[in-house]
Amino acid sequence: MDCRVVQELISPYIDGELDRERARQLEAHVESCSECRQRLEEMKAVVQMVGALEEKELPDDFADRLQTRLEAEQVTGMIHRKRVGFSSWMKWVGMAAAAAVIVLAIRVLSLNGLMYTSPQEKGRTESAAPENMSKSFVADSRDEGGTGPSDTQADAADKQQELDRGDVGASEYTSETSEQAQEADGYIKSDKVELMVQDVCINPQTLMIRAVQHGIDVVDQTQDSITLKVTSIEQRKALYRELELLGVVKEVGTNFESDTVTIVIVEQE
Amino acid sequence: MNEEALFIEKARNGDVSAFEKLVSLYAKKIYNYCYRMTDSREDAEDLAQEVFIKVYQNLKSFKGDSKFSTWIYRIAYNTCVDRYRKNRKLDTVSLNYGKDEDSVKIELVSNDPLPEEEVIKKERYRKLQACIAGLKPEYKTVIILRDIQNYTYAEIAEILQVPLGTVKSHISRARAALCDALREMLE
Repeated sequence: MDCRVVQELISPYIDGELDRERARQLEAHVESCSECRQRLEEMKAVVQMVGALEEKELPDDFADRLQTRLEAEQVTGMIHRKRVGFSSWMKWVGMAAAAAVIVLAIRVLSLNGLMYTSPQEKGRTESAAPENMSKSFVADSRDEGGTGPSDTQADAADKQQELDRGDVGASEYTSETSEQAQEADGYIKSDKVELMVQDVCINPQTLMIRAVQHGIDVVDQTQDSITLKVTSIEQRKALYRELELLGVVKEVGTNFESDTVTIVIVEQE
Repeated sequence: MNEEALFIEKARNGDVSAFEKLVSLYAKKIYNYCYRMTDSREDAEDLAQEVFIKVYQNLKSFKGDSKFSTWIYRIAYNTCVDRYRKNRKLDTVSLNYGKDEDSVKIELVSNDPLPEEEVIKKERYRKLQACIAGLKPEYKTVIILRDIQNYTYAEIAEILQVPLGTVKSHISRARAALCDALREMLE
């Protein structure tokens, strides 16, 4: 066995990875070769030293920081998923918009007196038409038909009760007039709000984290705004409460029937 | 099913506390692995966290064909190598620090007085760590896995996804390179 081969085998020899015959040959060689013996002793010592290196303790806040980064990652991942499904989402927005146009057209017709519905017919219409649309139609005709103010108030109260329970689907917003929406306070009513902030650290990411805590999905995000999908009144209220803690909330949207809300962050001087 | 397998199964199904348990099982090992790869506590923390984020994101793709420990170390190795390639920082910073005698002195004088033997020992370990960090990534990873974390040749082959023969030759060359670097530094 020559020195070059021996020096290649020293490392596996230290680890006990050589077969018995090779190990014996190596031992015989190093007994007679001082250079290889020295090399073996040196490598043994270094391996021993490396093995004795102390383990470092984890930084104290390692888990907390990891938690924060994981939360941020989850949110980012969600945005990515949302963008993947954007085209199908747009299809639904288109259908919702079409439904809204139909509802508005019916309202305009009834306001102009072009369409008259007797109280009896109202009942029949309600049972025959799709539920969401019928509610809107009946409520509107009742207002226009001169039923007493107490009826209107009772209707609004019923509606508010439904909203408070959080069991109102996004489609039911299409039946609510903007005036009614504006009456109730303490939640975001339109599709766009401005959040006036003084803290420059508040950014769309801040809002995203808070939204996710309430099960609100993120639809899109820009440098100074975020668009969220709100599917219940509870989510609108929760969002409003969160925004109020961060700054002054100002309704600027004109669409009260959308199931998305865009929050634009405006830094105050 | 052992405890670790149970945590993995639960974490794959979205159980956050099970994932936290997995983190607590491996955090110190992975942090130390990254520390030995970088010779920087700051980089080690950042890299170790990146490793666990990748583990979290890819947990569903872990089929259990290899051991979980092997899988997580493979992610750690790839993460460190990616970082190395990106900024080439792992080598240069470590070597500069190790060769900078003043930095060793500063560290030594700032501590409580130690017996002379302890001072020499500490300095030797500091230099050893600098020499390890100065090796190329393929070499330092085998030194860390074999000589610090006591993985077998077969496990290292699985982590690095290379043949057993490559692991043997890498360990052999890495140790030889470390001996040379240390000798040069101590001369």
